[in-house]
Parts: sequence; C-alpha cells; structure tokens
Amino acid sequence: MTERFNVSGAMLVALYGEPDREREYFRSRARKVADIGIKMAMLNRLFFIALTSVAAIATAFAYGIGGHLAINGGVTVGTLLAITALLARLYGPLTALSNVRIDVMTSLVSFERVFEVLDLEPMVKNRENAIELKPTHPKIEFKDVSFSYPRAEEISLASLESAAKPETIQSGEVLRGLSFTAAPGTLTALVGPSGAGKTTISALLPRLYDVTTGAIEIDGHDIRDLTLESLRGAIGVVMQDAHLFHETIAENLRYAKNDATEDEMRLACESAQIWNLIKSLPNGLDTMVGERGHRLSGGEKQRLAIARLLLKSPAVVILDEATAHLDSENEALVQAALQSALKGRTSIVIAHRLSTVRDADQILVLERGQIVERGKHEELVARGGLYADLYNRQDLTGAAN
Amino acid sequence: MSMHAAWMTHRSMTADPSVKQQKLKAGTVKRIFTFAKPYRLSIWIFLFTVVIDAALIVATPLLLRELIDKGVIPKDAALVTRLAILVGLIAIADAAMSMLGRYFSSRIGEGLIYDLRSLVFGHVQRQSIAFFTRTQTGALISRINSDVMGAQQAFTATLSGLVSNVVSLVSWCDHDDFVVADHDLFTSALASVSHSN
Repeated sequence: MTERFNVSGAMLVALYGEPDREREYFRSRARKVADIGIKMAMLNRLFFIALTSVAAIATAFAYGIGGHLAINGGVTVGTLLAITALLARLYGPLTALSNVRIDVMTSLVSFERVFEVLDLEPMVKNRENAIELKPTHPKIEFKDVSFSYPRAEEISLASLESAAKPETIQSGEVLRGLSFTAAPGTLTALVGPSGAGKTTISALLPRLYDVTTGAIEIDGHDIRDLTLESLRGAIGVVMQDAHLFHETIAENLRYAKNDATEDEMRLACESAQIWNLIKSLPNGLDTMVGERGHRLSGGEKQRLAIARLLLKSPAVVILDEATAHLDSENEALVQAALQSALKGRTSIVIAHRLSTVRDADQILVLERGQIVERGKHEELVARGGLYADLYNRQDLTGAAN
Repeated sequence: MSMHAAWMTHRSMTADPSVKQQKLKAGTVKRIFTFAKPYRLSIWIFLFTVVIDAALIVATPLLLRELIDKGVIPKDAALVTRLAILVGLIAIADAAMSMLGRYFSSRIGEGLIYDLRSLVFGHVQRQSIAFFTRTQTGALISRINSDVMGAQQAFTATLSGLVSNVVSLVSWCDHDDFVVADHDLFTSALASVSHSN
C-alpha cells in the first residue's frame, strides 16, 4: 500500500494500472483482515465469558460448600466471605502465571529482532584513526580499481527482505583494473554505452561502496583512511533524478547547509538559474515542493539540486547525467547553472550527450568496466574508435533532429 | 478478579504459543539488562509499588473476615466502623499505589522505547547504500515501531504481572488459616463430588 500511495506509485496506477483491479486486490486483502477480525472478536468474547463464568461458578461452589461448613461450625462466616473474595483474585494470577513463559518469550524475541538490526555492521564505515580531509583543489586518483557489487548476505538481513529472492548468481566485476588521475580543478568526463560502469565510478568516490581491489586517493590519501563525514562533505553530487524532500524549497536547500541565510540561498539560486522561478511563486522559498519534488518540472528540480550543490560548495563535483532528460530550453539553463557549479572544482561528469563534454580536460571512454580510450575530444574523434563512433552517431541524430 | 488480572490473563491467552519454541541467542538476556541499567532506581520503585499493591489486594478480604467475625456477629459497632474505614482507606492507598506504579512503569517503558528507537534509527542511518537497495522499507519501519514496542513489554507488563501475581499467590499461601480453610473446602468438595457419583 505504501508503494501505491506515493506520488510515483499513484501515477503508475492511474496511467497503467486498472484502478478496479487494484481496488479488488485491496478489497480481497482487507476482507481477509475483516474475517480474521471477526474471528478474533468472537474468540476473545468466548474467552472472557469462559473466564468470568468459571470464576462465578467457582464462587458459587465455594459459597455452597463453605455455607454448609459455616452452618456446621467448620469455618466462621467471615472466613467464608474472605475465601470467596480471595478465590476470585487467585484465579487470575494462576492463569496469568501459567502463560508467563509465552509473554516473556514474545518480549525476548522482539528484543532479539531489534538486536539483529543493531548487530548488522555497516559495510562502509570509518576506520580507526581516520583523518579529516581538508581539500581546496584536490587531485583524484583511481589506482587499478576493480569492483563487484556485494552479495545480499553481506549487506542486509534476510528477515528484512522477505519479498527479495535469494541471489544465486554473483554479479560479475563491474569495473576492472581502472586507473586514471583527475588533476586539481579539471573536468573529467566519463562516456560510454549503458552498463559500462560510469555510475559505479561516481558511487565509489563518495564511498557509497568500497572498491573490491585497488584504491582511490584524494590528495594522496586513500579515501578509506578519511572520515566519511569529511569525505562526503567535500563531494557534491547532482544526479539525473534529483531528489527533493517533501518540504519547502528553503528547507530542501538548507539540507546542504544548515545555517544558510536567505541571501546565500538567493545567490545560489541565481547562479543555478532558478531564482526567477522561485521569485514568481506566491510563497517564494517557503513553497512546498510536494513529494519527491513533484510540483516542479524535471529541469526545475535539476536546477534546485544544483543550487543545493552550490550552497554546499564542495571541492569535488560529480554530475551523473544531470542534463540527460531535459528539453533544449531547460538544458541551456541547466548548462549555464552547471558552468558556475564546476568553476575551479575538480569534477567528474557522466554524460550521454557528448556535446556537453566537448570541453572536458580529459574524456575517459568506458566499455564493460574498462577504459578503452582516453584523451581530449578532438584527439578521440581523430582516432576513429568507440568515441568517434558514438559521437558521429549522436551528431547524425542531432542533425536529423 | 481485578481488571488488571483479567487483562493479564487475556493478553497471555491471545499471545502466540509458538514463540515458546523460538531459540534465543546466548547473551540476549544479559544484553537486555544492560538496557535496563539506567532505569534501575525506577525499576526498584516500580516493583515496590507492585508488591505493596498485591499485598493490599490480599489484605482487604482478611479485614472483611475480621469485620464479620469480630464485629458483625458479636455486634461490636465501633469495630465495624473502624474496620470499614480501614478497608476504605486501603482502597484509596491501593489506587494511589497503582497510579504511582503506572507512572514508573511508563517512565521505564517509554524510556526504553525511546532509547531503542534512537539507537536503531542511528544505526540504520549508518548503513551503506547497498543495505537500502535490498531492504524493504516496511519491514525496517516495523522493526523500529512494533518490535521495539514488543521489547519494552518485558519491562512493564510482564515484569509487573509476574511479580504481582507471585506476591498475591505467596500472600495467599502464607496465611495458615486460609490454607486450612481451603483444605477443608477442597476435601468437602471432593467428598460431595464422590458422594454424588
């Protein structure tokens, strides 16, 4: 239900699903819950009736026999009364104690399930004696990096993924023996067909995953020796699908910089080419963006994400297909925004549209997890390899359009 | 039967008995006690109120016996009044004790929920992105909500139920008069049953 009631899920149901079928599916499940509810109510009532009846019968029994004993002088009337009063109180504790093991076990099992989560070691964590990264114009170096995605049992708990099927096949190496250097303040572009491993590279740098073999260094430090906080604080990422929280524009911007003033936000938004839009909204920076930013268009979300990045002002910038699905007007605006985002920063840009990376200081062409070509745009076009092939194909479609 | 006892009994009967078969990891109980440590004082006060509460409940019938045997039957009006007032006062003290007990049990329970939730939330936040690509959000939220609630039951409902019931039973068994009387009743009952057969 949670899946179908978020914006994307609701939209998918509206556009593709058959609401009637969905409703029927929900109703059949809700019916089962209702049936169980009735059964439970009946059993509970039966239990209560049984319990109170037994107590009442026991009292009658005690009065009956005790009455006779009192007449014969075996017990006093006061004792009889006290016994019947206590009998009613005794019955509850006895039944409750006989079931105490179930109660205790239920609690212990709950504790164990909580401990199970607490015992799951994060795959990526700070090393002991990790140092702070203080970069200004950092040099990034990939040294013979290979990477395969971790197996399910390494990252999660089987009990937390009941619907996920166990993986029988290990995903192979996504990156193999990758080495390159991004000089301070330069732009490195990653291009290549889908599944070549471009996005994986962008995930390794902020340590969303750790490399399997080899090392990534920033200013000569292995990134695993740096504190995660300082490493991630130095890197800004804008992805193809910019995510915004269901809060106001200002709160989303402040996610990058807690204490950002309104002036700072305005400046960042101006550089990101989004200020005019925000200004035109009746609530300005206090406008709610809707779930996942659904009230904004793709280009607007993208520019807001860039403004967020500018506020963070990181030393390293990663752009993962930040302009892939934008129309030409939006793309021009986003490109202009990106110019200011990349200025003077060491950046890694992944782009499908090769026109956007022509001015890169170096272009790495990836295929099946390996760098097959590297160089500047003109050199690569002149070489007539995979890059030239991709470029010519895009150029042709561009010309046809 | 008091409302609390009825509720405890009912709760026990509706719990799933299959949990009894569950195997626990070694050290779980010890680890739970580390979570209870900051609440040691509260737990002692709480248990004290539970014991007093259970003792007061047993005291009332004993006073009623005295009231009838030594007050009503010998027509001692002054004693009847005194004992009736005492029974009333015990009822008020019982109510106060149960309020005090409830205050401490919720302090322990809610504090424990707060501690566990904060800990689990912080820990989940530190998990790698890979963890979130595999884990179902619903299952995770349920750990933070329902399992944490289930876990704190050990410290409040179960603990108080166990202690108060044991105290009630012990007070009942400790009283020789009642054991004798009970024994008389029991043998008479047996006799009448065998007679009717």
